[in-house]
Amino acid sequence: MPSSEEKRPVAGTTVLSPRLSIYRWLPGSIASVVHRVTGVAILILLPFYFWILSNLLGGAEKFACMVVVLMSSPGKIMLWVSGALLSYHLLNGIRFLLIDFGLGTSPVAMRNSAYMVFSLAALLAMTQGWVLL
Amino acid sequence: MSASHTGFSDWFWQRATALVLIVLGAWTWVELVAVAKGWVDFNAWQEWNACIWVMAVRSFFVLVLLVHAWIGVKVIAEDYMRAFWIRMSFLASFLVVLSLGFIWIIMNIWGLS
Repeated sequence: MPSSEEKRPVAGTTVLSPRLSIYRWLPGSIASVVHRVTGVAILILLPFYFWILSNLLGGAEKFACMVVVLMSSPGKIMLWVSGALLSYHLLNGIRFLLIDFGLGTSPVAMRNSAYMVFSLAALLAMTQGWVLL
Repeated sequence: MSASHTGFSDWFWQRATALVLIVLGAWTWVELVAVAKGWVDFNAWQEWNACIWVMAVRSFFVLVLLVHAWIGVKVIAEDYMRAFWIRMSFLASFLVVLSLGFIWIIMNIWGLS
Protein backbone atom coordinates (compact mmCIF):
# COMPACT_ATOMS: atom_id res chain seq x y z
CA MET A 1 0.00 0.00 0.00
CA PRO A 2 1.27 3.46 -0.84
CA SER A 3 1.86 5.69 2.12
CA SER A 4 -0.35 8.71 2.61
CA GLU A 5 2.74 10.85 2.10
CA GLU A 6 2.93 9.89 -1.60
CA LYS A 7 -0.70 10.73 -2.22
CA ARG A 8 -0.46 14.21 -0.75
CA PRO A 9 -1.41 16.78 -3.38
CA VAL A 10 1.02 19.51 -4.31
CA ALA A 11 -0.11 22.87 -2.93
CA GLY A 12 -1.88 24.98 -5.54
CA THR A 13 -2.66 22.09 -7.86
CA THR A 14 -5.81 20.98 -6.09
CA VAL A 15 -9.30 22.31 -6.72
CA LEU A 16 -12.06 23.06 -4.22
CA SER A 17 -14.40 20.51 -5.75
CA PRO A 18 -12.50 17.20 -5.67
CA ARG A 19 -14.69 15.55 -8.32
CA LEU A 20 -14.29 18.06 -11.16
CA SER A 21 -12.76 15.47 -13.51
CA ILE A 22 -15.90 13.35 -13.43
CA TYR A 23 -18.23 16.35 -13.34
CA ARG A 24 -21.25 15.93 -15.57
CA TRP A 25 -22.61 19.05 -17.19
CA LEU A 26 -26.36 19.44 -16.84
CA PRO A 27 -28.63 22.28 -18.06
CA GLY A 28 -28.99 23.50 -14.48
CA SER A 29 -25.26 23.63 -13.82
CA ILE A 30 -24.63 25.31 -17.18
CA ALA A 31 -27.29 27.88 -16.26
CA SER A 32 -25.45 28.60 -12.99
CA VAL A 33 -22.03 28.96 -14.62
CA VAL A 34 -23.43 31.18 -17.37
CA HIS A 35 -25.09 33.29 -14.66
CA ARG A 36 -21.66 33.92 -13.14
CA VAL A 37 -20.04 34.59 -16.50
CA THR A 38 -22.75 37.04 -17.58
CA GLY A 39 -22.57 38.71 -14.16
CA VAL A 40 -18.84 39.34 -14.51
CA ALA A 41 -19.31 40.49 -18.12
CA ILE A 42 -21.99 43.01 -17.04
CA LEU A 43 -19.59 44.25 -14.36
CA ILE A 44 -16.89 44.77 -17.01
CA LEU A 45 -19.35 46.82 -19.09
CA LEU A 46 -20.38 48.90 -16.05
CA PRO A 47 -17.56 51.50 -16.33
CA PHE A 48 -18.72 52.15 -19.92
CA TYR A 49 -22.26 52.66 -18.68
CA PHE A 50 -21.10 55.11 -16.02
CA TRP A 51 -19.08 56.99 -18.63
CA ILE A 52 -22.07 57.11 -21.02
CA LEU A 53 -24.43 58.24 -18.24
CA SER A 54 -22.07 60.97 -17.04
CA ASN A 55 -21.84 62.29 -20.61
CA LEU A 56 -25.60 62.13 -21.16
CA LEU A 57 -26.03 64.18 -17.98
CA GLY A 58 -23.24 66.59 -18.92
CA GLY A 59 -25.16 69.05 -21.10
CA ALA A 60 -26.49 69.36 -24.67
CA GLU A 61 -23.15 68.99 -26.47
CA LYS A 62 -21.99 65.89 -24.61
CA PHE A 63 -25.49 64.43 -24.91
CA ALA A 64 -25.53 64.86 -28.70
CA CYS A 65 -22.03 63.42 -28.98
CA MET A 66 -22.99 60.41 -26.89
CA VAL A 67 -26.07 59.71 -29.02
CA VAL A 68 -23.75 59.57 -32.05
CA VAL A 69 -21.41 57.20 -30.16
CA LEU A 70 -24.32 54.94 -29.12
CA MET A 71 -25.69 54.80 -32.67
CA SER A 72 -22.31 53.98 -34.24
CA SER A 73 -21.65 50.32 -35.07
CA PRO A 74 -19.46 49.68 -32.00
CA GLY A 75 -22.02 51.51 -29.86
CA LYS A 76 -24.87 49.41 -31.22
CA ILE A 77 -22.89 46.22 -30.72
CA MET A 78 -22.18 47.23 -27.12
CA LEU A 79 -25.85 47.99 -26.54
CA TRP A 80 -26.86 44.67 -28.04
CA VAL A 81 -24.26 42.68 -26.07
CA SER A 82 -25.25 44.40 -22.83
CA GLY A 83 -28.92 43.75 -23.62
CA ALA A 84 -28.28 40.06 -24.31
CA LEU A 85 -26.19 39.68 -21.13
CA LEU A 86 -28.83 41.47 -19.05
CA SER A 87 -31.63 39.38 -20.56
CA TYR A 88 -29.95 36.16 -19.56
CA HIS A 89 -28.83 37.38 -16.13
CA LEU A 90 -32.26 38.81 -15.25
CA LEU A 91 -34.21 35.78 -16.50
CA ASN A 92 -31.96 33.27 -14.77
CA GLY A 93 -31.96 35.55 -11.70
CA ILE A 94 -35.76 35.28 -11.61
CA ARG A 95 -35.35 31.50 -11.98
CA PHE A 96 -32.94 31.45 -9.02
CA LEU A 97 -35.36 33.53 -6.93
CA LEU A 98 -38.24 31.15 -7.69
CA ILE A 99 -36.06 28.17 -6.78
CA ASP A 100 -35.13 29.93 -3.51
CA PHE A 101 -38.82 30.31 -2.76
CA GLY A 102 -39.16 26.56 -3.22
CA LEU A 103 -40.73 26.63 -6.66
CA GLY A 104 -39.54 24.16 -9.28
CA THR A 105 -36.85 22.46 -7.22
CA SER A 106 -37.20 18.96 -8.66
CA PRO A 107 -34.42 17.85 -11.06
CA VAL A 108 -36.86 17.78 -13.98
CA ALA A 109 -38.22 21.25 -13.18
CA MET A 110 -34.66 22.63 -12.77
CA ARG A 111 -33.73 21.27 -16.20
CA ASN A 112 -36.88 22.52 -17.89
CA SER A 113 -36.62 25.98 -16.33
CA ALA A 114 -32.98 26.18 -17.45
CA TYR A 115 -34.04 25.37 -21.03
CA MET A 116 -36.82 27.94 -20.70
CA VAL A 117 -34.34 30.61 -19.60
CA PHE A 118 -31.96 29.77 -22.49
CA SER A 119 -34.76 30.04 -25.05
CA LEU A 120 -36.36 33.18 -23.61
CA ALA A 121 -32.98 34.90 -23.33
CA ALA A 122 -32.18 34.01 -26.95
CA LEU A 123 -35.59 35.29 -28.05
CA LEU A 124 -35.14 38.54 -26.10
CA ALA A 125 -31.63 39.03 -27.47
CA MET A 126 -32.96 38.62 -31.01
CA THR A 127 -35.75 41.12 -30.31
CA GLN A 128 -33.21 43.58 -28.91
CA GLY A 129 -31.05 43.16 -31.98
CA TRP A 130 -34.06 43.82 -34.18
CA VAL A 131 -34.96 46.97 -32.19
CA LEU A 132 -31.38 48.26 -32.45
CA LEU A 133 -31.02 47.69 -36.21
CA MET B 1 -13.26 38.10 7.03
CA SER B 2 -13.76 34.38 6.70
CA ALA B 3 -16.48 33.05 4.44
CA SER B 4 -17.89 30.81 7.14
CA HIS B 5 -20.15 33.25 8.94
CA THR B 6 -21.26 35.64 6.20
CA GLY B 7 -23.17 33.04 4.17
CA PHE B 8 -26.70 33.98 5.12
CA SER B 9 -26.26 37.70 4.84
CA ASP B 10 -24.56 37.30 1.43
CA TRP B 11 -27.41 35.10 0.28
CA PHE B 12 -30.08 37.45 1.61
CA TRP B 13 -28.62 40.70 0.27
CA GLN B 14 -27.79 39.20 -3.10
CA ARG B 15 -31.48 38.35 -3.51
CA ALA B 16 -32.90 41.52 -1.98
CA THR B 17 -30.80 43.63 -4.38
CA ALA B 18 -31.71 41.29 -7.26
CA LEU B 19 -35.42 42.09 -6.79
CA VAL B 20 -34.70 45.80 -7.20
CA LEU B 21 -32.38 45.22 -10.18
CA ILE B 22 -34.96 43.20 -12.14
CA VAL B 23 -36.95 46.40 -12.49
CA LEU B 24 -34.28 49.11 -12.50
CA GLY B 25 -31.74 47.08 -14.51
CA ALA B 26 -34.22 46.43 -17.30
CA TRP B 27 -35.33 50.06 -17.14
CA THR B 28 -31.76 51.31 -17.50
CA TRP B 29 -31.22 49.39 -20.73
CA VAL B 30 -34.55 50.53 -22.20
CA GLU B 31 -33.74 54.13 -21.27
CA LEU B 32 -30.32 53.95 -22.92
CA VAL B 33 -31.82 52.55 -26.13
CA ALA B 34 -34.58 55.20 -26.07
CA VAL B 35 -31.90 57.92 -25.90
CA ALA B 36 -29.74 56.27 -28.58
CA LYS B 37 -32.66 55.81 -30.99
CA GLY B 38 -33.75 59.41 -30.49
CA TRP B 39 -37.11 58.47 -28.94
CA VAL B 40 -36.18 60.91 -26.17
CA ASP B 41 -34.71 64.29 -27.14
CA PHE B 42 -32.31 66.34 -25.06
CA ASN B 43 -34.95 68.67 -23.60
CA ALA B 44 -37.16 65.84 -22.39
CA TRP B 45 -34.09 64.00 -21.06
CA GLN B 46 -32.84 67.07 -19.17
CA GLU B 47 -36.25 67.81 -17.69
CA TRP B 48 -36.59 64.19 -16.59
CA ASN B 49 -33.16 64.12 -14.96
CA ALA B 50 -33.60 67.44 -13.17
CA CYS B 51 -36.41 65.88 -11.15
CA ILE B 52 -35.20 65.09 -7.64
CA TRP B 53 -36.96 61.72 -7.61
CA VAL B 54 -35.16 60.63 -10.76
CA MET B 55 -31.84 61.58 -9.14
CA ALA B 56 -32.82 59.71 -5.97
CA VAL B 57 -33.90 56.54 -7.82
CA ARG B 58 -30.76 56.67 -9.99
CA SER B 59 -28.58 56.94 -6.88
CA PHE B 60 -30.49 54.09 -5.23
CA PHE B 61 -30.07 51.98 -8.39
CA VAL B 62 -26.31 52.57 -8.50
CA LEU B 63 -25.95 51.72 -4.80
CA VAL B 64 -28.00 48.52 -5.10
CA LEU B 65 -26.17 47.55 -8.30
CA LEU B 66 -22.74 47.97 -6.70
CA VAL B 67 -23.77 46.03 -3.57
CA HIS B 68 -25.02 43.21 -5.85
CA ALA B 69 -21.75 43.30 -7.82
CA TRP B 70 -19.68 43.34 -4.63
CA ILE B 71 -21.38 40.23 -3.20
CA GLY B 72 -21.21 38.44 -6.55
CA VAL B 73 -17.50 39.12 -6.98
CA LYS B 74 -16.81 38.27 -3.32
CA VAL B 75 -18.56 34.90 -3.63
CA ILE B 76 -16.75 34.12 -6.89
CA ALA B 77 -13.39 35.14 -5.37
CA GLU B 78 -14.06 32.91 -2.36
CA ASP B 79 -14.69 30.02 -4.75
CA TYR B 80 -11.70 30.40 -7.05
CA MET B 81 -9.01 32.38 -5.19
CA ARG B 82 -7.67 29.97 -2.64
CA ALA B 83 -4.68 31.90 -1.32
CA PHE B 84 -5.84 34.23 1.44
CA TRP B 85 -3.58 37.15 0.55
CA ILE B 86 -4.37 37.01 -3.14
CA ARG B 87 -8.08 36.97 -2.39
CA MET B 88 -7.87 39.73 0.19
CA SER B 89 -5.75 42.07 -1.93
CA PHE B 90 -8.01 41.47 -4.92
CA LEU B 91 -11.18 42.15 -2.92
CA ALA B 92 -9.66 45.18 -1.20
CA SER B 93 -8.64 46.71 -4.56
CA PHE B 94 -12.04 45.89 -6.00
CA LEU B 95 -13.76 47.59 -3.05
CA VAL B 96 -11.65 50.72 -3.53
CA VAL B 97 -12.51 50.86 -7.26
CA LEU B 98 -16.20 50.30 -6.51
CA SER B 99 -16.24 53.05 -3.88
CA LEU B 100 -14.49 55.54 -6.16
CA GLY B 101 -16.82 54.67 -9.03
CA PHE B 102 -19.81 55.10 -6.72
CA ILE B 103 -18.72 58.53 -5.51
CA TRP B 104 -17.94 59.65 -9.06
CA ILE B 105 -21.27 58.59 -10.57
CA ILE B 106 -23.28 59.97 -7.63
CA MET B 107 -21.58 63.34 -8.12
CA ASN B 108 -22.52 63.18 -11.81
CA ILE B 109 -26.13 62.26 -11.09
CA TRP B 110 -26.51 65.22 -8.73
CA GLY B 111 -24.64 67.57 -11.06
CA LEU B 112 -21.77 68.16 -8.66
CA SER B 113 -18.85 67.33 -10.93
